[in-house]
Amino acid sequence: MSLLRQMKAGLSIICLLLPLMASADLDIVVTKGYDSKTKVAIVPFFWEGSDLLPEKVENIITNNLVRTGRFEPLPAARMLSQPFSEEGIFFRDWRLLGQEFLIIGHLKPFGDAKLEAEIALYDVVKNRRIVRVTQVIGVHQLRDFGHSLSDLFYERMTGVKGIFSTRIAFVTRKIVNDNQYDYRLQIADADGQRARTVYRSNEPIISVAWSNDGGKLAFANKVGDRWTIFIQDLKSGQVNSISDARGYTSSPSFSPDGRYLAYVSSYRNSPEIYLYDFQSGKSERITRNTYIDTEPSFSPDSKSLVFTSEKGGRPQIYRYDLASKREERLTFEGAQNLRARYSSDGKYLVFVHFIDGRFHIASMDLATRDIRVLTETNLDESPSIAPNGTMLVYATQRGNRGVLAWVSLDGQVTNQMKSDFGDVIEPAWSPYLN
Amino acid sequence: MNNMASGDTGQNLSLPIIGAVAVHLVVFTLLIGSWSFSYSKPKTFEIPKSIKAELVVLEKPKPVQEKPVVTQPKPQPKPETVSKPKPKAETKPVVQPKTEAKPVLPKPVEPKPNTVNVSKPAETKPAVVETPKQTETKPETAPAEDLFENLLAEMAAEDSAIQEQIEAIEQSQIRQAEIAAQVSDYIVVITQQVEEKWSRPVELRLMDLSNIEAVVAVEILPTGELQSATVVQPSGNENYDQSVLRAIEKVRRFTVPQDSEVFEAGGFRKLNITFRPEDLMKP
Repeated sequence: MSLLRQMKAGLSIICLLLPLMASADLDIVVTKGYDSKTKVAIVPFFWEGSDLLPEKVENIITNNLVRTGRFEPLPAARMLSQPFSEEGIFFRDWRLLGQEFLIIGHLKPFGDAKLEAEIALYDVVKNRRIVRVTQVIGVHQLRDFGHSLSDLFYERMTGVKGIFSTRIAFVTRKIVNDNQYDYRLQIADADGQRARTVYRSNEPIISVAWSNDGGKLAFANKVGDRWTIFIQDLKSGQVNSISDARGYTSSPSFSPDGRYLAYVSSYRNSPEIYLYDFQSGKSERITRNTYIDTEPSFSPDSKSLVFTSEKGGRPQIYRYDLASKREERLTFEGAQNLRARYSSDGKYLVFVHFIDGRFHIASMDLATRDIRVLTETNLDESPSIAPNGTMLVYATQRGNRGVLAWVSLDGQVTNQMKSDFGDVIEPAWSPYLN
Repeated sequence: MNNMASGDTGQNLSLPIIGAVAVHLVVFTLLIGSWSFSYSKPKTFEIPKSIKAELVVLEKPKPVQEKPVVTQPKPQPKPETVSKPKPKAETKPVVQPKTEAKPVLPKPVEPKPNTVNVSKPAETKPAVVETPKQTETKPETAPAEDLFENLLAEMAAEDSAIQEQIEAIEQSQIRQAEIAAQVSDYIVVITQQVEEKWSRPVELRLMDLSNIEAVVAVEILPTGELQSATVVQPSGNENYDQSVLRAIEKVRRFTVPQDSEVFEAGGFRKLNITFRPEDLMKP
């Protein structure tokens, strides 16, 4: 009898144990994502003044976020309410609309041609405010304010520094008469707005490069039958050519520490890469072969540079180390790889990758040398990478006109811009500016 | 007179009663002995076999329970049922005790002469043998039979208890299978929910993602509501880790089993979600 009871007890224990043993943590593996755009509601800001403001800050922010290709703003018509203060926010409503973030703003007149702005970003998922900005600004500063707010909000939402307050330099080309052109070097906001001319020439201007502090531009301009590199100080407007550069020089690239300018010269023979030292005022040749070496670009630490060389038969990307003076081939995949630029953190390269008869934008993880194709393009011009590495701007044809196109890394063309001064060519995205 | 009458009747009855009681006791002890003997077998085999003999047993246990109460005729049908499938194992223990119990009956006849020397051996024996079966001697056999019946009842109760346990195990196994099926269904749903909400930052595509992986411990209330999410195994890339946390926060309310048993048994209270972007990895 006791044995039976023991058995019963045993059975009961087994019965009890079965569910217990099964109730360990549940393991789930997620191997893909939908990568849908981040849904953000930007409520039209409330302006207490009577005069119409020259800019709508919320529109500037909306357009900036859309241009990145990773945000999907909620049309104002679909909003259940349009709060301009925290008390008016019902997170549940915004969640019902599928929103992830919410931006509201309140603008009040503040003396002569000034206003007080209170703008805030909310996390609808977490039911909380992320950041609030209260600032007095001039009415004429609304556009800059919109860009810096965009930078702030973008960084808080993505963890990546925004590029909306950066600039883009580009060249326009317009036919004036037969065989006569008007070339202009222009600088605009990162969205292409507020373009201004900083240099003009009747001869072609190419390969525009920014100094690391954003204070100077280097470019090549044809002078007579030669190409000369000029450096323009953007504050003073002063333009200098590199004294030691002779012959056909182009493709300038500032070292981030400001000491060197790498450039290409074919003065003696085939195009070779030189290093101009601003301290000594002298140039040093760093490649020596009978093939084309071009498109130098410095690493963020200024210790090395990448360039394109045809010494392997086809254009491929090489890296030159300034200390050891040694060079190393980086790309082996693809028929051609060219126009390499370092990411701002120096961890990867972005470059033009020609494979299967098409141009792509590709990146290389420098730690593993793994190449991945980012964007399939029909581009015939060079792209320039935004300093945060998440966007490109390049010149392309629309109709029979050269325009500037913004492209996100996953290949969406998010914006295009034409110029009043003819075709747009040779864009160069600035570094972060402060 | 009443006394005399009672005395007479007492004297008249005393011998048969003593004999009957003695016989019953003997039978009883032998029965107990045989039962206990027979039980030794079940101990050994029931423990392992009970788990395996699931489905077929569900029908048979009932006939088995009836058999013990009746008596002899059943030994024959039992072998038939026994011979077929494994369920025999469980029916056997019940069957065997009875077949052994019968042979016990003749035995008590022999011991009686020794113990009941005083009076009528010949008369008592047949009477004894008949009476227990017919239950004619109602008054005094009652306690003995009660014991016997109690014993049988207890046996039956034990049997049915065992059967209940077996059935309980079987049912729990079936239930476990049902739960397991539901759990895997809900895993698919939850995985889908998270995938829909997972947006990988575009800058990730610049990186070599072949080894990137993060694990998030997610605590969920029985309502499906997210209670907490913690990166327990970071990927080494802060943006990546944020993207997986965000995906979970965006789900907000997970689709979990409404059946609380499935919820608990399936482990939905705490999910370990591994994020491995195979779709972004190079083939």
